[in-house]
Amino acid sequence: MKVKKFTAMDILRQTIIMAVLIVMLFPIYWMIVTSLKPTNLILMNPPVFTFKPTLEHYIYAFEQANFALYIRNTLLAAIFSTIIVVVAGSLASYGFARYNVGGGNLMFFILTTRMMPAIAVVLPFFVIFRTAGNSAIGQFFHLGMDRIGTLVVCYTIFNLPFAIWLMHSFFQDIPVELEDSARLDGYSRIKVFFKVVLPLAAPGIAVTAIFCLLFSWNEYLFASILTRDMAKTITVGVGDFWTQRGILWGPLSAAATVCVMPMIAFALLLQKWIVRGLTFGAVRG
Amino acid sequence: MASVTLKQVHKRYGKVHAVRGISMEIQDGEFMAFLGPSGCGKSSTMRMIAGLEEITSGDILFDGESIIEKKPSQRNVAMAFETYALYPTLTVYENLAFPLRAAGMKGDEVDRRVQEVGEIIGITEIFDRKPAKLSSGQSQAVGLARALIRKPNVFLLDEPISHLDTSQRFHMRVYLKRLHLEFGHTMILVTHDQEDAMALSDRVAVMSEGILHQVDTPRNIYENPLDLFVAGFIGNLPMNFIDAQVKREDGYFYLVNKAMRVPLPEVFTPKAEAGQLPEEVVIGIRPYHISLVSSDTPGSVSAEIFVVEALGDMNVATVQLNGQRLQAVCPTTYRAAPHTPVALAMKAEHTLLFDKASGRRVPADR
Repeated sequence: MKVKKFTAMDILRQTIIMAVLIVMLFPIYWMIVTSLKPTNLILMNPPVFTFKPTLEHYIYAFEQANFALYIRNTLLAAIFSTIIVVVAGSLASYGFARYNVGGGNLMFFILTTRMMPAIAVVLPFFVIFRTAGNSAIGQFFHLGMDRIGTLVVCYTIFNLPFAIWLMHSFFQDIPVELEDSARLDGYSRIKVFFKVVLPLAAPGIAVTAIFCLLFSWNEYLFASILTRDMAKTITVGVGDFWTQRGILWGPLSAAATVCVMPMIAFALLLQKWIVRGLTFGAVRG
Repeated sequence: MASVTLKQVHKRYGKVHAVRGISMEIQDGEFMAFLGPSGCGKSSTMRMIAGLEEITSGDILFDGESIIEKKPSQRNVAMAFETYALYPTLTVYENLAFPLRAAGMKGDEVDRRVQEVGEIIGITEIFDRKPAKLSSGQSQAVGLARALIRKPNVFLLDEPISHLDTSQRFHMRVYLKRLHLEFGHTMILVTHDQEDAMALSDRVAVMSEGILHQVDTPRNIYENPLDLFVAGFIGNLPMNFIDAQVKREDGYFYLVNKAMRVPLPEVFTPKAEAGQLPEEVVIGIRPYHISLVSSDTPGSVSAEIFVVEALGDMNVATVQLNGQRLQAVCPTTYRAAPHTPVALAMKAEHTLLFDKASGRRVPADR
């Protein structure tokens, strides 16, 4: 067997990678470890590294702090907003990609809605949703303060521009001749979209959907201001353990771990596609 | 099969006037090529015939019946694309079956037709493969097969072979020609490659900037171009153009500029006598019709060698004449260093004259 020789450059590279990884991963490691430590060992100084793991903090988080409800809220808001974003966004970005709707200006305008800090619109949103919650239509769509419909709308508003931009590049990658050919074969434009374009754009749409789920799952600002109890999401829920009696490090770490785990799992599973999504369709489909 | 008639067809994309009033008649069973540089409107014209683009004004008729209100699928045209346009998720077989199923054909019938066309094109062994696993030649064969499968009225070929490498291109070209001779479809080929256009088609329509310059047989396009654009565009070695004036001296007519003075070819004399020749003309002569001669040859023009290239089957001498460069084809044995003085003789019977002002060719009296 050929033994690969390491050059000084290789060693330097590996060292830097190790250093970066330690800096990046240590907080996550520490969070997980803390969530499994018995309470009396958490704040020990010097820290203990060996202990008998316990699930007590997880039990506390779910039983005392209603964490199951927060997960349910987060999932509902994320899934519904993602469905709306993907359906509306794919149609919109197809229109931009193929028919040059708005001559590029409209699409840029849509993107500009992402350019302001979200905090700038939170107060207006607060007033809008409070008012909407008092109307019959608002009630029907679960709008209002501390209601999930409000989160769905917020997440849709903030994910849609991004989704349109991302999917636009995927649609542009599909050769227009395929669509021409299908039209000659007898498909209407709508049928071409559903039968030819969508199947080819499916990977791109999936990537977009994953991003929307991630963003919604991680969202904090809107949820913290527009929800209180009933519609509270998981990211806001983590803050529950910062109490008047002090910070409950164990349950807080347990909650944070629950919050982060799905994201890490997603990222590991779908690494390849996510990287492709980030390169914005630079790779041809 | 059908004849195709274009009547004053215009296409505008916003401010861009891509096709400017094209009229022509394509016979039933004819192979017509739309030839021109990119952006000349040839593809737009084809897409309007297919119904993929709306027509801005004018009319398009199949067999005398206007089809501009019809959807692409109702026109029964088939198209082969430069990029093949095969559905990447379907096998070759499914790609061929797709148009038939889209048209509502069922089970056995679809299979019979797919097998039939697969055998004609010779692609039955690759039926199970996905397009990604095909060579470019195979992909284009599948593209053609898919176009053939619906027995179209008109067969449109959008640069179908310009993507292929040289040997495959020759192969596909011969193949296309044979296909046309055997099945006699009305075929329209869009290409920027004059060789493809000349080799394949019965007639060639030369276009530039949305204007139709000339529609004629390949032979006539080559020998009797109607204007400077066609003359300069057609021919692998570009035609030589020399600015000159028509002058009368001692009762004889001459073509004169600072560096040369040659007798006006006889075929133009009657026009010159009648005063119908413009004073400022452009002489057009192909490199094949200029020869290098000894300097005492009457009517020859002196020039000097710029460079001589050996192209295998001929040598091409580029010469300097009055700061202008001309090309002449010479025997493969010919060699000469730069600045060597030479004399050129132009074959009078192959000399074309163009009106410098309008760019139109001045017809000779033959």
